Amino acid sequence: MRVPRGADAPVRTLFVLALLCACLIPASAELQITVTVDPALPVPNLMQNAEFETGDERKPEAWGASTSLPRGGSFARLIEGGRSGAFIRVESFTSQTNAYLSQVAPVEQDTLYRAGAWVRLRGGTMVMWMHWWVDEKRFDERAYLHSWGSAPIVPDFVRLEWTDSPSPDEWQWVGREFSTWKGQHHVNMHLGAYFDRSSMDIDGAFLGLARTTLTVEVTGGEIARVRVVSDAGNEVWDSGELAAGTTAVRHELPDLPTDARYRIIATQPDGTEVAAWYPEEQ
Amino acid sequence: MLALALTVAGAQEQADVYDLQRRVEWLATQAGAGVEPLTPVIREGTKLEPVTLVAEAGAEDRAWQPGESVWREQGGTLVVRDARQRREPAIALHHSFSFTNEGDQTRLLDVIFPWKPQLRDARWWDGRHERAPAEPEFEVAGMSFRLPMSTALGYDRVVTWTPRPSPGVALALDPDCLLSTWTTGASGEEFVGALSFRTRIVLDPGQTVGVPLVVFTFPHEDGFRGAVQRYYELFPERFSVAEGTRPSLIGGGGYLFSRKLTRELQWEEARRFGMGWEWAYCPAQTPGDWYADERFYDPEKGYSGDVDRHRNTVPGSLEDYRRDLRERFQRGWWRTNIAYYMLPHAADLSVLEQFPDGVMVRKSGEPSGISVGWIKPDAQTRMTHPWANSYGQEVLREIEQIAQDYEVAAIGFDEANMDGPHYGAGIDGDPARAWDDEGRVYCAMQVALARLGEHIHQQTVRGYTMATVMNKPTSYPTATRADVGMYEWPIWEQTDGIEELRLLMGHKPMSWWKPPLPEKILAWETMSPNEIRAGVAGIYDYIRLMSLRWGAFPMNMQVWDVEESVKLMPVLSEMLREGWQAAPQFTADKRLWTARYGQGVRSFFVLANPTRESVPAQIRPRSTSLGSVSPDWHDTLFCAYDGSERTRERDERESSVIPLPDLGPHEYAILRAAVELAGAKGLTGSALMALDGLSEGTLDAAWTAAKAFEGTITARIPDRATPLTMVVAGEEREFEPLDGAVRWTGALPAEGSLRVTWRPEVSVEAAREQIAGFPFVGEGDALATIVLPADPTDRDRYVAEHLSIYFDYWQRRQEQPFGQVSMLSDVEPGPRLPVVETASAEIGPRIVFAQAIRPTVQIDGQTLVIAGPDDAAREAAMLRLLELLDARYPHAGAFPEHPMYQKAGMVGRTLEAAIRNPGGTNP
Repeated sequence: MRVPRGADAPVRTLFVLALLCACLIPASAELQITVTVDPALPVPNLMQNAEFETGDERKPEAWGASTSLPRGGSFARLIEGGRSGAFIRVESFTSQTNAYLSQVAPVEQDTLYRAGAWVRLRGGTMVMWMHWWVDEKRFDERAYLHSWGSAPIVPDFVRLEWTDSPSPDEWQWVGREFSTWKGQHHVNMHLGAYFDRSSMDIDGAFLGLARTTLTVEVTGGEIARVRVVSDAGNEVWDSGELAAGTTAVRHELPDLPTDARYRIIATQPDGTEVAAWYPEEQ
Repeated sequence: MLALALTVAGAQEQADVYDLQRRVEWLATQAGAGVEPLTPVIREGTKLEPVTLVAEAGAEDRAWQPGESVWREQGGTLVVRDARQRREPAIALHHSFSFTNEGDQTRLLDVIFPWKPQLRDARWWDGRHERAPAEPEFEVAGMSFRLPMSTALGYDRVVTWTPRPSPGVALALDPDCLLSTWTTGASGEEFVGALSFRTRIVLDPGQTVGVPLVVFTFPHEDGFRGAVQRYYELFPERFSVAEGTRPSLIGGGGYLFSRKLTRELQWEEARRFGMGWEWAYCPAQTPGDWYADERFYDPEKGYSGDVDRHRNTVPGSLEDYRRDLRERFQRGWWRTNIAYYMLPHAADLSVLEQFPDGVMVRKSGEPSGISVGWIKPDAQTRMTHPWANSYGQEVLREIEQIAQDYEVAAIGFDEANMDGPHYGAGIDGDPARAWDDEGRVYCAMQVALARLGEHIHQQTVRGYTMATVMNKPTSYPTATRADVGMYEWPIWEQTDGIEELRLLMGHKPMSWWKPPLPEKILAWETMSPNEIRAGVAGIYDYIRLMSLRWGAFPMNMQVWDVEESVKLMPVLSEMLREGWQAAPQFTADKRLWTARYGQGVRSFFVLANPTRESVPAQIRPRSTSLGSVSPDWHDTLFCAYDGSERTRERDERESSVIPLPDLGPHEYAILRAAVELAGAKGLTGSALMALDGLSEGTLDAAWTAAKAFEGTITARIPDRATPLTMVVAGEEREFEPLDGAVRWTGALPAEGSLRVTWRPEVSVEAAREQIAGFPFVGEGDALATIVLPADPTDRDRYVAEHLSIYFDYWQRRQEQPFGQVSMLSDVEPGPRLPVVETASAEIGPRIVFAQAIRPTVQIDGQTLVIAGPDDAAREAAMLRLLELLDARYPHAGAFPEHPMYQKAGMVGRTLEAAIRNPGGTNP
């Protein structure tokens, strides 16, 4: 599963006054592209020790590690071989148990977040489970990834490649967006094996705001056209052909996914393009 | 020198141990020597205050000796007794512990029974897992999937040059006793010090509660499975199908989804797919009102009508409802045990308004929550404790009413794994009560379900014991009261719990219970047709091999459409009638799955290859060893399941081996024990059986022993066959007929031969070609007429009717090869043979019934005779006739229309037809 790319944001023309970050990117002698983003990207990751870089050989710091059945699974923190550095290996030995890493994170109420983790799944069912009790009601959001790799029929009766299973050697993103409830100030993230005999590696847990507002300003010369394109190649905004003599463009794009990078492309009347990425680095 | 002396002494002992009595004495000495008496350690209340016991006479006796010990609480009112008894044939000592409260206050007791085996370097098995010794702690789900036994396997304490494996020892609960909580433990760091069993009991003033335990040994070579095998032998009633149940129960299960219009076709569908029982899901209109009556039945709400489904869709009166249920169960009786669905641990609120004390009460004192839409879409249910309160008593009555009115052969409990402590009504004085860490008294739901299972077994329907089919009986109380245990998980995904449920069920059949949906497993859109067929074949291969390994019938939905799976059903029936065994007692290549069914000369050995490569299939039967009262497989000659010859040889190490052809990927082999020669060792020989004779069968065997011997020769014959002759070493002998065998004792030569002949259960006095060529039907019309016997019984009428629809069913299935039985009512009927009371001169070819000494099928010109001494025998003859006709009128189902099957050229065909002819369309 890949990081979900946001749908094309609705196009509105607004003049946003709150500025948290301003980037002045001199792209040519004439045209200058300025991008302000609220919240800035990348958004903060609300999970502590999200990359599992600290901890002991069994458990990452700031995380819990437990199974619902005694001796139902195991955890190991390996310091090399992750998507970046350390990672956690989670095994569950029976379908009668779960095996979860867990951490409670603070959140704002009535806010859209995205959460997930990178998983290398050899077999079984991986779940990202976000839950909390809010006014005695259960908040519950989940995302799953399943592999037939641990199934007893694989590989001697059914080859893994004959099933709809992720590659056991590749990292997959397991996550989703969700909105917190009114009055909710925390969420408990659980990552791991969901009642299936499972074997998986987990790295790069994430919880952060799901949307940002990006404001583009182009100045410094005559502008024929301005486009904003995401790193997935999706067209986010296209000004179309601007009136001759246009020398300043300011446009606000709200509700953009925060898990993307955006390329702002300004075209001069002679066809010359000036472009800039936000964020600059991946 | 000491080690040498000990080794020599050991060797001498080994030579003597083939004598059973000496074995018992040796084991008693080894197992019991120096052991302290099994003295319970008692603590009381939530603070676990120690209770000091003072021994009276007998308590200091050796733990291994029969007798009685009595202890009294020092300064208190508790009396503990241990009545010890040795029961043969197993090497075991039964401890009937009882606890009596002679005071006037209720006592909450935590009891640990520690027992220290005389073993060195012993590993521990906790009843489910082998693990490092651990204290007996009560754990979440600790009783689930677990046998109530604590087991050790190690070596003699006597030091020898090489460690000498000792018989294992186990401490186990008598499964007749129901407990709400228990656990096992073992002291020690790496190896076992003492085994323990722990429980909690509640003693009211004046009450006595029993906790019967047993200590026993088992052969080291069998591993911990040997302990389980021995446990079955000690309590055979709990690990075998209840006495008096219909033999047909041991068959496949499933849903036939029939209706009144297709009831007779339902019989034939069940027969074709080897089914012995059906799961009649929720005939009740309202959960909790299991035998519906005027108090709860709502004519407006609807019921299923005359169709076998569980939705309330057809308006009708209570009499309409009962009429249709009677038809369903009574008319459907003939071919399968239709299991009437109950989930007695849940009931609708409308029922609980009349039986409020049945609601399960939680620790908090609150009733269990309300589930909406479970069991029936419009139901609102709470969990219940169906025992000893008014609801529980009503359930008992309704079980009896169901038996009497609907004449159901079995009752099915859904979700029999559900458990939970009940703190409410119905538990007063219950000997199975326990108490929690806060000192609150409760009784487990599993106890109530087990007791209901016992009540079901007390019902008799049409002369048979009513059977229990339980879905997921995952603890010993329910598993030991279930005749069939369903495993409602996809075995191709979830295997944990399979071995555990199998061990809990003993010899009894299991049933896999999940429709295989290959289209949901395979990424068929991106696969080639060949790959799809291979993937589908792999799934069904797996199901078959797992069935053989674990003694489980695939449900009918796992059998349809695959010829090899259909063929396997009668094989599984035959083997499971003998009973699955925990200890295979033979070894083979470690890559192979192994299983054993039956005992002695009625055994089967199973080997299955779950790999993608060919594996050598030579087997080594285990020899008798210390702690064994099992057959010495060295005395036994085997043939293949189909009777083909197999030899027993000795390898370069002088060990017995039975060489078999290599097993290819996903192949299996079954060996049938044929001849047992007790009294000689190190035999070689061969055996073969001719099993497919229509009117006679034969067994031929030859052996070579080291020398002539006085011994007993036992030869297997098929079930219900009549033995004719037994020729031993060229001389015809007067044999002793046994159940499925014949026996003779006398002087046997070193090299000898054996021939046994028998008449099969049904003697067919016609050639197969005559049977196939008899003019039953022609050009789509019925040609023959069935003539009932004089004064036909209900079973005679059924026999006639089933035969009459055979061709009709087959014809409809050629038109509509897949789909449920009820759909066949929309298919153009095939020819039905008319059934008449008396024969007239005008009828042509005829099938008549006759009295005869034994079941027989004969053809005399245009008359086919189905004969037997009674109606059951005539039914057997009819079924044999149909079996022979199946060769000409085959049907194994067909894959339905689904894009995956279309892509792979499998629609309307069996798997094998699609593989044989990938581009074709023939069935």
